[in-house]
Amino acid sequence: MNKFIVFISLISLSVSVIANSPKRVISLSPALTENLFDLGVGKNIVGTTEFSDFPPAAKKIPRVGNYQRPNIEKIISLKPDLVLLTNEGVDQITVRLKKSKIPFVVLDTRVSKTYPSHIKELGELFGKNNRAKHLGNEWKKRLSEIPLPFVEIKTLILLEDSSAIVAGKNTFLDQFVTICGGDNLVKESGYPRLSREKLLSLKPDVLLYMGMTSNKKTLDQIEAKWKARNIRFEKVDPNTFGRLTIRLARNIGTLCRAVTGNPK
Amino acid sequence: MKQILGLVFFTFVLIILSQFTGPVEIQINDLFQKNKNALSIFWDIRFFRTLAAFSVGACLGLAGLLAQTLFRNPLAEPYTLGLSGGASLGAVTTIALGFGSHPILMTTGTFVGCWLATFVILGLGIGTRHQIEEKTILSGVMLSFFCGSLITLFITWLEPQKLQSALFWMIGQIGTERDSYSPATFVVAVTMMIALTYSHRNLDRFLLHSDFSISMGLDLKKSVILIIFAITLLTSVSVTVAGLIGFVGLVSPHISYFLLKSSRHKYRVVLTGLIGGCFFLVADITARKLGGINEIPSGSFCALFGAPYLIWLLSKRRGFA
Repeated sequence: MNKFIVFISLISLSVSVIANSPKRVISLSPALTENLFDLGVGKNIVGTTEFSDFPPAAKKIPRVGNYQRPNIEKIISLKPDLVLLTNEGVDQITVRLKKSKIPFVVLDTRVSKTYPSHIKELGELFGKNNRAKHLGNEWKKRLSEIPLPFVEIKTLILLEDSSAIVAGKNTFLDQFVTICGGDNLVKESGYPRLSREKLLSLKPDVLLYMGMTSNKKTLDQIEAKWKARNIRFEKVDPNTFGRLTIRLARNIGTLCRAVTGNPK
Repeated sequence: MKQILGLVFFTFVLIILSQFTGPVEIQINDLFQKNKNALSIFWDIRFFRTLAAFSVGACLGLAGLLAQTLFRNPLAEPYTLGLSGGASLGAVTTIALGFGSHPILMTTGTFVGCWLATFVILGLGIGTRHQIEEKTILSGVMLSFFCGSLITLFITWLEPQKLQSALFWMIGQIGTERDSYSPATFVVAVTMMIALTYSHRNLDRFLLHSDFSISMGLDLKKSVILIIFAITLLTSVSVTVAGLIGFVGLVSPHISYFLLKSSRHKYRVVLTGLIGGCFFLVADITARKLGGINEIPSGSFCALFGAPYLIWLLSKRRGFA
């Protein structure tokens, strides 16, 4: 697979790719879809996964199944000249893409510092180097504008309440919270599931809740539960902050306000 | 014989139906006009899926027949021997070690788990001279529980993503990249149908009480070991392709008995294999029809269809042979 990526990267570096930039792309993650729209090549996307809902135009793209298990028949039928995926749990589909001789590129979207390099890689694939550079610079600039924090606010990032899934180290959420002056209490890497006891034994100053729950009643219950323990509860939009896109940097102020509790 | 011919015809109908069912609509014209995409989906994806569904079903049906014959128990199925426990433990261990996305290592883990379980129950059951079948089945059930506990332990330690792949594996489904192993499963299914039909007289002797069968010249211990090996081979080649598929092994022998009105193995072996294959094809076609681009695990339909059907069958007949 590495060879394949190198191969694709090599063509993408050559000038020829600008003439042959992919015209029929399938993007297998909501973040990738959004990034392609940011690069101005959203119209080249012929298929994407469920939950690809931003920008609004993305909602009209045909679906090829969900993020974890895209449907290979549907992918073949859309005749893509490139399939883009992220490196989170995609190996099963890559085996099948390889077998069906469909070109694909796997991009690393796990850690925030990779956004500029990630968007650069995407830009090269589509001959949009300038636009990618611009977005990368905007990202760096916005992050550098955040003042260095003085205090470390004990933070817990809760992704799912009932099964207690949290964001740990080596995730872009962790890095953003750190930039904002938060100190993530979960030191394990990735997105671990905590035991109820462990969850309750942590004493954060603030709880960032990023659950997908839209049910008002459930949400209120969760909020009341944490508030009863004198922990500040902040609801953070998973759509904006759960995907590695430029929107994350553009809205970092909102996230930092949630972490610090400071309205400025 | 006419039942077998009827089922062969039914199998062909199902194969054609299966080839034209899926999230992407394929017309016969697309195939004649050599539409590259249609051909690719038709042969590279769907053909292997159809073959996988039929072969897995056939193998499980045969394994179920052997288990019910060996234990003279209408509730026995391949998993009663603890094979599912062994296979799941193998698979979950492979996933826990971080090789869950590696098809070859997953297959090896499952296969090894399945065979280890067999050697454990044979080691436990064969040592004694008497009641070899009873001891084997009890060891099998105990082994299932033991592996089940280990799996629960492992699963609680898994990260969410690995947990999901473990659960999907245990529901059992086809339509994954492992479909490409189905030719091997098919070869095993056909070979076993021929081999078991050839030794149908020995299988018939098992239906008698073991004292009678020994007096009729059956080498009990050797035959039990051979049958258990056959069950393990059939089960391991199907779980490596499809994960855990329940119920096909249980229900297929009952349907074949209902059609033949006899539990003799001369025609029943082939018939049970075909019934198992058709049964799972129907389950998979339904899963594809209802699922569209979001795959529904076909294993979930087996008991949904199988259980009411089996109850209906049982209500229609008097005794069990």
